Amino acid sequence: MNGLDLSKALTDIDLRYVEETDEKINGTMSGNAERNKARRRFLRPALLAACLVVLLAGTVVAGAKALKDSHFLEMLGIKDSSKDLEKAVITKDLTAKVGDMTVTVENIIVDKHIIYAEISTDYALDKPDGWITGETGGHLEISGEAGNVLDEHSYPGYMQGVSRFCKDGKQWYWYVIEYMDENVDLGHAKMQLTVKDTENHKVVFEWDNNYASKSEVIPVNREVDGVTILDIRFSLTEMVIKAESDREAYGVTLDYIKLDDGTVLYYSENNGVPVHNSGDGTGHNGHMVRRAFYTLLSGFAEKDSNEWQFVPYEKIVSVSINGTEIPIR
Amino acid sequence: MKEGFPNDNQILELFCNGSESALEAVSKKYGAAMLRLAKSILSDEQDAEECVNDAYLSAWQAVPAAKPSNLKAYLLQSVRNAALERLRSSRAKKRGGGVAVSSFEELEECIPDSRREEPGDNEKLRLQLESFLAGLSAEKRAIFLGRFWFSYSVTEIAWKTGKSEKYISNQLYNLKRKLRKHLDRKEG
Repeated sequence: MNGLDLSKALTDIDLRYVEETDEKINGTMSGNAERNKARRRFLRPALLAACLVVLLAGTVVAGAKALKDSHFLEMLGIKDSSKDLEKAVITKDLTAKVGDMTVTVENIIVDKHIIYAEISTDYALDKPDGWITGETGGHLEISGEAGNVLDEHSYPGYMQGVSRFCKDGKQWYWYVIEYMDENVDLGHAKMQLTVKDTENHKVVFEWDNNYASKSEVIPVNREVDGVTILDIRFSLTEMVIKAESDREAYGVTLDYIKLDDGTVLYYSENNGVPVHNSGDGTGHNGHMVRRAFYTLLSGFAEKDSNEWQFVPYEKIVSVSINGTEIPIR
Repeated sequence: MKEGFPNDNQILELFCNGSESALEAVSKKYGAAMLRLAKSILSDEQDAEECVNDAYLSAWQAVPAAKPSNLKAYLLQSVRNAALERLRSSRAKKRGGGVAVSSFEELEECIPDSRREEPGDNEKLRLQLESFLAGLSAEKRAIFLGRFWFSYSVTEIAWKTGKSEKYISNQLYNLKRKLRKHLDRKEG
């Protein structure tokens, strides 16, 4: 090792830098949509799920037909819902004062690794109804944590983000947190959501999830273009393709999925263009296991269509990866 | 103390009172993050677990006097120190080595040729690194430290920040060049 030991010197740097990086990389705080611009792909399901929840507030059993009448759905182009999705929406109605503002956790959607929460405030906005994008602002910082889902063997990483929207002249927030450990099940997690205003008034909302999360792991073990697709993991709102290769630099490109009625759906913000989705990976000595994440809530649409769909995973019969269609059912 | 969410001030109080519950609380709250960091530096799981235990012991001895303002960062620093020591020892014994070795080697490449033979001066180097970091934007600092302090892979940083892997790789390439120049300039 060199006389100058950069790694050692780096270890001893001012801990404020470490704290800052931990917050930025692990996403522990976020105050507004602008700050989370970089996570737009991740927030997309949150935005779209919010549409569903707004409509479902107070009418959890509302049918898909009613959902389709929503201007939120119209605005974002989501095509359909499902009974499973509706069952996962849980009304919380937890209210507290944060400084002068009344804040209410209205509804949550519980998925195996992801929690979405819809939060209303009485803060007045002079804006039309709809998502607030492309501007800084927001008056609350929202962060969350699940208290009893990690053990010493768990991968502790999680991501979270917040988007704002205006409803009936009031500011609302849509919050999402996703845990990265594939064994985590948030269905019965002890949840904590901390809401702070700009003057550091703080309220901590707590609740216990009580939801039988649904998920399925389909083993694949098939080599495609020098990459072994190990398995495909499904939960209510997400599909995760797990692959491995002896190359550290390789891609998992999802071309399309096929449903049991023959419908072909593409995952892309520009329909028909395959998306090499970012994921995570663990590598060792040139060997890399990689996971690529795709939302089932809003990421898929038919070719040349702008109607994004919620896709119940049981309907997916084949998945095309790196140019090869793989039947999974 | 609520199950699952120990408060840092309460934990510090437990340390100061010599209560062993402090270690239980720290383990519950930060144990997983500490183990992840140790595992990312060391390939051997048992070594990683021992590092975390070393960090607990160190915290038990040092926290009451140090009273760190950020307990998590303090504990992670302790783990990183312990893991680096162990890595050096295992390299010396020609065994082991992990994912993080490549990130350390990458970092060593930033030492200018003119300083290769220079005797170690950790404090001077630390100050130079801090002045380098202070000149970066918060995003670039997070990318740099995510890779070289937390030992995240490029893929992990890309996922966690919502950027593409190519973007992160390019940023790291530029940051390494910048650091090399910074260290060269400081020396000159």
